[in-house]
Amino acid sequence: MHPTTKVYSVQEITQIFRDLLESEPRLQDLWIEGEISNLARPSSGHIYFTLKDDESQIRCAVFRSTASRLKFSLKNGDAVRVHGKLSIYDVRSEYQIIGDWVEPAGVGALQLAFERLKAKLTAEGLFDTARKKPLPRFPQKIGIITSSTGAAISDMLRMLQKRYPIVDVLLFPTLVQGEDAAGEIAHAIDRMNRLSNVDILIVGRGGGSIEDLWAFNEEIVARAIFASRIPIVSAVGHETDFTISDFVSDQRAPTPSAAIELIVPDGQELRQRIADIESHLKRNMAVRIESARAKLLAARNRISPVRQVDRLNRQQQMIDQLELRSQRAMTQHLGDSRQQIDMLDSKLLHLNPLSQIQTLRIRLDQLTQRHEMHIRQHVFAKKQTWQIASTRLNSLSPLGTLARGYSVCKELGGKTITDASTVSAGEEVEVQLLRGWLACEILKGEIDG
Amino acid sequence: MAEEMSFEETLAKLEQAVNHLERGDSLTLDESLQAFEEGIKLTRICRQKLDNAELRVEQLVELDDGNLSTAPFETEENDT
Repeated sequence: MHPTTKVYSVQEITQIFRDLLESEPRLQDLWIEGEISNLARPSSGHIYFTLKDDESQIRCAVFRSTASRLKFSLKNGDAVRVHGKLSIYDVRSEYQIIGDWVEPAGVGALQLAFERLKAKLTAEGLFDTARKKPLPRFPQKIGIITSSTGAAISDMLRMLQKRYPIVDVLLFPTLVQGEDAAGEIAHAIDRMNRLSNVDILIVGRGGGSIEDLWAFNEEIVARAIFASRIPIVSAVGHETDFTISDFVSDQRAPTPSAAIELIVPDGQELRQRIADIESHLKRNMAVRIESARAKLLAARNRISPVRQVDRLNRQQQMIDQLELRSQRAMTQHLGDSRQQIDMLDSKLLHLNPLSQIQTLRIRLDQLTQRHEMHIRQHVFAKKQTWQIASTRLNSLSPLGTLARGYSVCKELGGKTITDASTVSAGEEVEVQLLRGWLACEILKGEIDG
Repeated sequence: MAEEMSFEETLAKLEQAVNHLERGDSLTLDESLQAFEEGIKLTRICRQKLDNAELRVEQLVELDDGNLSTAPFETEENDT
């Protein structure tokens, strides 16, 4: 062999080939469509199959982590579309597709149908924003068109209960997937529109595959939504799912629970608003009362005692003038009787309320003094009576006498002995002391003097 | 009467009472007190409506003759 010629190992060749493949971007991110054959599912969880079309075939491997994400199970004969990259299987130097996604090839047809309908309805103006109806601010009766057994209805009811349970809900149960679903949904929309009191409609279902959601991509549903007199919120699948219903409805909600958040106010926010209104009312009223009080005070000042004194002073002046006039009259007509002048004078005095008040005050003072004096006298007299009685009572009490050292001598029968001759020697007597008594025997009796 | 109004109507009346009280500089103290009392009463009713509300759910049933009738609807899980 030529010494300068490089000799490769098999592994090296494989590596070069791998490098070549991996440097070609078109081969690293590709979609490939074909029919499954030679499907193998060893216990490792990986899936191996051959993808073939009329002319040729290629090996495919789908590793376990990907295989577990697939939404349908592969079987021989399935037309599928595989996404992945081209790689090399060193052991056999075979190139193969490493698939990271497999979907039924028919989806392409659905996607196409979706795009076509969307274009058609757009052209007809079914998606025009100008045609969209506003949603009521406080709906009272919410119509819901969905399956009575799905996750969507329980999610929505739970959210309503939590957020704004003041509403009535009217459910029109329908199928939400399968061939008959679209017809049922369109029919339900039509029937709901013939009821008078439904404020808003929610049409939708929970998440699922594109086939599961397909009813909401049907023209019959789109037209029913467009014809609805009642505003419709479309709530189909998850946030990432977009359907024709979403486009034609008056409002799209990303999920069924989000539809509830969209159409009813939040009870907590309302509570806060009511609390705000209440404190606003209270503040406003407090200000009003304060200003009324200020007005009252001003009014009261107008008739305050100072002003009253002014008035009295004015009256006083008038009275004084009257007096002066009367005095002048007096000097002019000296002949008038003194009596008449006195009468006029006392009359004038009587007219002056100040003097009258003074008179009354003096009288009141006098009365108060008299009353107090009377009470004092009364108490004093009572006290004196009590003292005299208590002294007398004390002096009469035998206890007082006994305390001074005297004692009482009694016969056994209890009769007090006051005369020595009434007892004889040898007789037993009782002697009562201040504290206790003595049993005594008479030795001798003698009468003084 | 106010108890039978919808929540929305009650709230609207409440806002009306507030506006009345706010703009009514010509109101007598007695009239403003009346508006105030009405407002406080309405806040109470609004709150009661929120507190006592219980979600009412019915389902429509289509009869053979094509007419609709309603029936109570219960979810599997107990309403909370």
